Amino acid sequence: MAARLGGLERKVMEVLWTDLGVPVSVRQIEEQVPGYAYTTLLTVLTRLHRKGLVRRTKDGRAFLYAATTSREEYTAELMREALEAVTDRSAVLARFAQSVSPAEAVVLRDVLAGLEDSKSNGRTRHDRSR
Amino acid sequence: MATAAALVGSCIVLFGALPVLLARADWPSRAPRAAVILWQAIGVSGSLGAIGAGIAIATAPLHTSLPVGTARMIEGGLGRLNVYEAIGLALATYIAGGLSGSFVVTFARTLRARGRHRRVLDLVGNRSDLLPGTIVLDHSAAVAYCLPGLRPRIVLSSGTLRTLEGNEIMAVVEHERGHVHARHDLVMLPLMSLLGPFHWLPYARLAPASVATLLEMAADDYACRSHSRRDVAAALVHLAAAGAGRIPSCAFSATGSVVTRRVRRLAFEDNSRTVGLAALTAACAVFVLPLVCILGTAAT
Repeated sequence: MAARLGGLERKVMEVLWTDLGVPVSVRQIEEQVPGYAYTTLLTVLTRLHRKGLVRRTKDGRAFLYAATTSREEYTAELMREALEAVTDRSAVLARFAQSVSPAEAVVLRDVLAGLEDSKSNGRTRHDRSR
Repeated sequence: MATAAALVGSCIVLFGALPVLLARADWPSRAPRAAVILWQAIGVSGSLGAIGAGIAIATAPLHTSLPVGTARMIEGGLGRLNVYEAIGLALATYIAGGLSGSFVVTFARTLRARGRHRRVLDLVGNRSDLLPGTIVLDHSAAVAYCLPGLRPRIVLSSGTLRTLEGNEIMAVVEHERGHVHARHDLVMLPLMSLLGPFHWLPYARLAPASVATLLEMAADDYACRSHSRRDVAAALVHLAAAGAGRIPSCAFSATGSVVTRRVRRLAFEDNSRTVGLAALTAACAVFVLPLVCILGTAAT
């Protein structure tokens, strides 16, 4: 159930992200995410509101919902976390390659070019086995 | 008192001298996994030795042998503490409490940060059709990483997909799978937690960076099982160079950045079984060192 709701949260957020900042009603969301009961959508929206992803405004007896943050901003936030992660300071995530200085990049490209030469000569044991 | 002195001495070697030598050595890159085990053995042995030293101080007046002395102390009860017991038990409690408390805090903090990252990731990332179990983030910067844990995620940015060729992308994913499969995050967690209360120890300062580098090398090796060394090295060079100049590198050392060391290793070095066995033997020796201190000094 939690996994299904997770997938539905995504769909609902996608609707809210298409017209960012324009509040929509549950009925309007229902039209764009067909196949789900009104109450299920309401549950998901309440959850999203509790998590701070969605802002709601009173409109008569019902609520109107809008995304608090754009998809791009969330992506940028994740990327910032990944870029700032230094492996010896945090066990949260492990980044494949830290960036190097331009001078170091030149040296590394040379090493790589050397590796490609030795490959064509058939000297590298590992490459020959492939 | 001989036991306490021997244990304190062994702790100085394990937490002070040995880490300095190990962090400077070149050989660990030829047997990264064995070297990680040696780092771990030093940590476990040093911690147990330090707690043991506290108990040895407390029980020194009762008997020369630590086990016998401890048994007598428990028999006699802790009604009124003499000065030895007060100092020794305070030391042992401080070390044991500091270690376990900091571990719990670090563990909880890491899980929380990871959980939050994963929830946002599942909301905004796109599951890749071509690379199963991989999430693509729509962003121009070239970044690849893994979010470890029980529900791990391997993440590539669309910038990475544009920067690398097909084989290199597969090599990166395989590298990250290496981290995930071997639960490298569980190796790092205790080391991170040491940094809190015991950051003044050379071991606590040196182990995280050294072990993190060795784990990257181990994951490179994992990727090399199914991909050529060239592809792994090329992925490293291209991704590291893609961000060149834009993001300052924080991981510089005397021998160049971690990326440079990994690329050089893939290009010029082979792993050595002999070095690995030697490191494992050293790990065993380190592991029994506190026991040797306790038993060796009890006989005299």
